[in-house]
Amino acid sequence: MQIEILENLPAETLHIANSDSLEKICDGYLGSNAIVLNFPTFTDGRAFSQARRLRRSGFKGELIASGDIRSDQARFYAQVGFSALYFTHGYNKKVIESNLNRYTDTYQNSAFTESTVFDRRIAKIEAARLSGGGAF
Amino acid sequence: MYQYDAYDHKILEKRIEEFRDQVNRRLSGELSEEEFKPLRLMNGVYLQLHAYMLRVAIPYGTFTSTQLRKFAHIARKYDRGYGHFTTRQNIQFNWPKLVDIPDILEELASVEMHAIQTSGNCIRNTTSDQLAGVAVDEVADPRPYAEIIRQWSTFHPEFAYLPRKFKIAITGASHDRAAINFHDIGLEMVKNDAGKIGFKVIVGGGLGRTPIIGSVIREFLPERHLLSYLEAIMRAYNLDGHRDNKYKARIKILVKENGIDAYRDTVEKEWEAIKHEGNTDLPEAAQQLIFNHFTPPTYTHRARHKIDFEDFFKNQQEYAHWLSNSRHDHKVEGYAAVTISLKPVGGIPGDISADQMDKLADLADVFSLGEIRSTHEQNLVFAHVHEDDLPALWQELDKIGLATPNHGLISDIIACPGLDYCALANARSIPVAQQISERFGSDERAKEIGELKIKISGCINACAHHHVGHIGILGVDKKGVESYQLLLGGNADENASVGKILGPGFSEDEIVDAVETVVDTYLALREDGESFLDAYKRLGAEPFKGALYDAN
Repeated sequence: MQIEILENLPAETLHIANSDSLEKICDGYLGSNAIVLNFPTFTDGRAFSQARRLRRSGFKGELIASGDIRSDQARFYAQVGFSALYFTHGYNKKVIESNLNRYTDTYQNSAFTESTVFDRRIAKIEAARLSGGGAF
Repeated sequence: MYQYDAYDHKILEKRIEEFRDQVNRRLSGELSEEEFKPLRLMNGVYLQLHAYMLRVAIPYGTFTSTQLRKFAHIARKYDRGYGHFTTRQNIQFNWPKLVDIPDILEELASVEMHAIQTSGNCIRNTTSDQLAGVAVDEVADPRPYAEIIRQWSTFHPEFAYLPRKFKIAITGASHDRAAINFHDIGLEMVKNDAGKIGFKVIVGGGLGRTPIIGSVIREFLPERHLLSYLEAIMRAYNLDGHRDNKYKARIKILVKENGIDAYRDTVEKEWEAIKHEGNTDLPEAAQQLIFNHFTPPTYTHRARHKIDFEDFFKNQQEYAHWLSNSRHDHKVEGYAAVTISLKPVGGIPGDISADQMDKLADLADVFSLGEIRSTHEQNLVFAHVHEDDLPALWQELDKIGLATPNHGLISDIIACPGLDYCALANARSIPVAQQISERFGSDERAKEIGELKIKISGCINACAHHHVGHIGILGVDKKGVESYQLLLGGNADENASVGKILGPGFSEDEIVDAVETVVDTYLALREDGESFLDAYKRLGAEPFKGALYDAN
């Protein structure tokens, strides 16, 4: 998994409040180059769902998590579709790196994994079958 | 039962590595307690009144003798020689040292167990019917679906910081032993007219400060769409649930405020979008792989364990009493399920010593295919016992103090840890439970009273489900003094009801007498064969109020 750490916000970014449930994603959003979603406190997880909805609607630009974001959950931001983190306070680059690289398998579909653990199990059995190894 | 594959093992191994690093950063001072708190709460580590507490997940309450021996080992090596089974089928250790917790997690991982998401505002352990897979009134075995939910919810990136904790319960039986009406989501397996298996989905039930019986959001959800529908419910809740007030943050308040119809509209719309994406529901082959783990065992086993006949005939009345409340019918003829009460008279509900755990694990191997279940009423179950083995099992359980014949009776009390352990509590629960069980300690008396569920919470958060006790007791703080309110008429099963407070509270010295007055009133007024709950429904609160308050 990867996610960029931004030192500055891009020039034209659209800020969306986390109280906007984004049930209707408007064209204005989808045409932006960069969108910032805000975590007012790290325990307020609304922007995780907002990110999912934006990506589902076809938003291809930079999706930035900002506010009270935490190094220890870098992979959660990446998994739901954020492409960048913009910290307004200190962060621990080493923790972010290890957090992103630690888990290579996930049970949930996400922006970064082509396949879930469930898919991989099937693929593994299929591969074994094709190589004549039989099921295990 | 489910066995981990290489993926499950690796995810767990990585999680321990991560948590060990987080604990080290806390111990070195790099992380403050405030920064560490959300990290430990993602892993079942609480800071209680006197010490850290570690809550270990028992997925849908099913575990093996090997796992039970590991609990015994952990209790001995890292704790004070006992463990505590909770109302969500989990086990807690009350005295671990923070520095030891990563090692404990490694021990647990070696037997395919963990503490992931046993705390925090995320999706918690999915609970189920303790008779799942063997119940006679079952449409289908709910455990494969509970395992699917376990995997899907483990480290779900989107739902790690919900407005509040989130609890799912699932049953496949018509008699609800899993309290599905009082969970954030309750799932009942049903068959539609075409004979297809699916779920009746209930949402927005809960206890706590605001007890609410859940509402049906969908009468029939085809089973293959379980995860997409759960995801839709969760997403709508994550976006719209209250974040400003902890006490309004559970999904029950959102559903109540919007009305079930409006909430359903939001969810169904989201569900359509998720189904359209097409990558949330499991491929059939992946689902089948999980189902393969739950193929019913072949029932040929019989322990033929030796019986001490002299002892048996001397105490056969006691045996008959135990049998009458501890034995449950089984799908397979010739077999039975057995409740093992963790409510000895005068004991602490749900507690079990390391020695008892070890011996019980041996008994599970001999009598019940090496498998044990925990119940939300803080008892244990052997689910595969041959009928002919029941006398021998009873004798062996009796030797280790686990043959208390009180399942479903007045002394089978649910109690929270209360002020003896918990930082939130206003009053002690355990001593009240102990005194009540002593007051009604006689088997004859308990038998005469019949089915009666008492539930005691030490504060309004209702961890012991006092709202749904036939008799509920709520500890409150009354100007610095512990005071206990009485509620009557609650019920957690398919005829769900919320108990009503009778009147002014009682002091610690008065509460046991008050319970006895309620029981005596019932005994005096009941009709033939009428349970406490039925009598209360017929009589209402008045006669009980009269007996309690008018005399003064």
